[in-house]
Amino acid sequence: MTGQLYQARIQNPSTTGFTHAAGVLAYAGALPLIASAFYILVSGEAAGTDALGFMTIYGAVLLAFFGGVRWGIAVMHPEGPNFRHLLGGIFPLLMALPVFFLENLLFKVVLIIIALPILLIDDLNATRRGSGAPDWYLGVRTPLTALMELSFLFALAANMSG
Amino acid sequence: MHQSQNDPRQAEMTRLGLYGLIPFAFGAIAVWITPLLPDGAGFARTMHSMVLAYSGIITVYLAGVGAGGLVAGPRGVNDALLPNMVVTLIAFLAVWTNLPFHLDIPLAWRHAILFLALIYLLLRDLRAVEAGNLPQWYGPLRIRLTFWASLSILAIISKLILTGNY
Repeated sequence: MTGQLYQARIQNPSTTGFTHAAGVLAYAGALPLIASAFYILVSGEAAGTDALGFMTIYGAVLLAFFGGVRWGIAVMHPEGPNFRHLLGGIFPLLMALPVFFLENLLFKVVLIIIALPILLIDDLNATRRGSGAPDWYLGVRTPLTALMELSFLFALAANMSG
Repeated sequence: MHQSQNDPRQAEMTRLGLYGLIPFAFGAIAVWITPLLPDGAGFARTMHSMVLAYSGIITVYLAGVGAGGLVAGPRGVNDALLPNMVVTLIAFLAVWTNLPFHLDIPLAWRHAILFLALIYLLLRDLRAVEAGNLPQWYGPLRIRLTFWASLSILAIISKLILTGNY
């Protein structure tokens, strides 16, 4: 596959085979976060802290998944991945790991709240440069990240005020 | 075909992959050796938790790599993403220690779930390599890395079984 063909394919949604089902699956992945944020809003402080703990682990898992997706896209590039692409794939994994090993819940939530938009902006820039994900992927990722970010912000605010 | 077998980037990625095995190997060795040391039992328990979390996150990462291959690959994305997401959820449940409704999965089973998830993802990725959704060099690398990671997890599971933690 030549570089031009690759570019044409990733920029043309009609050739990606992307279906409504894939979009539904992606949004379904954010549902536990949205449900937890809602639960924190309506529940007491102790239960809210448990739910926030759940959200941090789930958020870290999603960060790692997004990192894997970046790595998978990087290795499929026709010229092969460069070191920057590979580091870009590992960065979300490195951001996710401390969530499992640190005690401070607030720090973990803030880490995820910071990491999610950084990852999205870097993905958008990579797509703009022509070395990242197809347009349609970021068309799904952008609102998905916004939903996740809002869930964390609401949950954090509710937990701190509870 | 994306790159030849002798591509220097392949060596780079193999090296990165091998670095990723260090926590597995360190964890497996520590779980067997540290209980023999004075006050080593607590450290061994910490190592169980660390390797469990690390296995979970690596499993999720590999599910993501498969999804990334689908996103950028020639076959396109449809509900083929579903197994990757299911594995992600299973890995999440295996590492999440505060399961609701008083549900608890014993440590050895948590490791076993992740071991099976890794094997499933390996088979799935090998099929993706055949289908052109991942590069050719990725298959042998994945086999090698999964072999050593699985061996470490099996070493940990066997220690847990021997100590009655199942």
